[in-house]
Amino acid sequence: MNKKEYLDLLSKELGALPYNDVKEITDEIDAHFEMAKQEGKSEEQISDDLGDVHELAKSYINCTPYKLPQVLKDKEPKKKSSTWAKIFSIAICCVAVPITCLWVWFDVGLATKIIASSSVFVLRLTNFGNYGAYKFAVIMNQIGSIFYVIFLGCLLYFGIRLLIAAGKKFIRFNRKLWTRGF
Amino acid sequence: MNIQFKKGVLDMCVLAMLREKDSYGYDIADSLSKKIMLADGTVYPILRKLAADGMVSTYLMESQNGPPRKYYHLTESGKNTLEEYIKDWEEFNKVVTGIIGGQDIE
Repeated sequence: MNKKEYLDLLSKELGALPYNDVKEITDEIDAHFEMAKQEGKSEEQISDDLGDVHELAKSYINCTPYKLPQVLKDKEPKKKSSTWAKIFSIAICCVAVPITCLWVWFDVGLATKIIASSSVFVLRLTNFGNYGAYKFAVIMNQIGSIFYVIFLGCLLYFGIRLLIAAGKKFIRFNRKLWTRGF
Repeated sequence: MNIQFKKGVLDMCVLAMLREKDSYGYDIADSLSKKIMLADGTVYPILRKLAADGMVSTYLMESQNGPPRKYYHLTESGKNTLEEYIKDWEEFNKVVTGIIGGQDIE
């Protein structure tokens, strides 16, 4: 590499620095070339002795106290949440908490009813001999009970699943709203 | 020699070379790179950093042949820093010599 190539490459590599700094640096390296030439060295030899131009540029950039443009460090500034987003977030929490409580209360009620109906079903079965004339009615009642309990069971099962799914979604949505805004 | 060894002491060496007399970039680069086997270019960014930190100041002086040369001069702050470096270096050198020699220090 001759002097011109070396200096051109150096100033290109120093592109992130202010123009004045690049000028001062290339002037100093230029002076180095001139003085070394007086000792009878060729430009190629001097370039080799100076070392890798990328390394040299890197050391200069690391030694420079100036801050480099922000673009080189961070990709893009994070979106900040607004006050309104936070107020809205609290407001929907105020609605969501009572709904969740009601839902849980409803599910507990369903579970209790299922247990009660099942125990009555079992009791009727064990006492079946004592019903006498009511036997037919009790049989029909038992069949009805089976469907009733299955129906309540389905309601309870889907109720709990929906509660968990909706709860997860709500928490995720609200956290995003709180930290990053609308 | 290990390049990491050299990097750690370069600031100190450059400051020490300027303690006796002011000097220009090429002179420092040439003699230092010959003594500790470095690329000639290594010294220039260090000189620039030392100047930015106020350890050295610069001035231009005419030379008999060629354009004016940029001379480096050790400032008071640079002298104090050099004293500290040398003290630290001697202490560090003693401890490391002890460790690699297998002696028990203290």
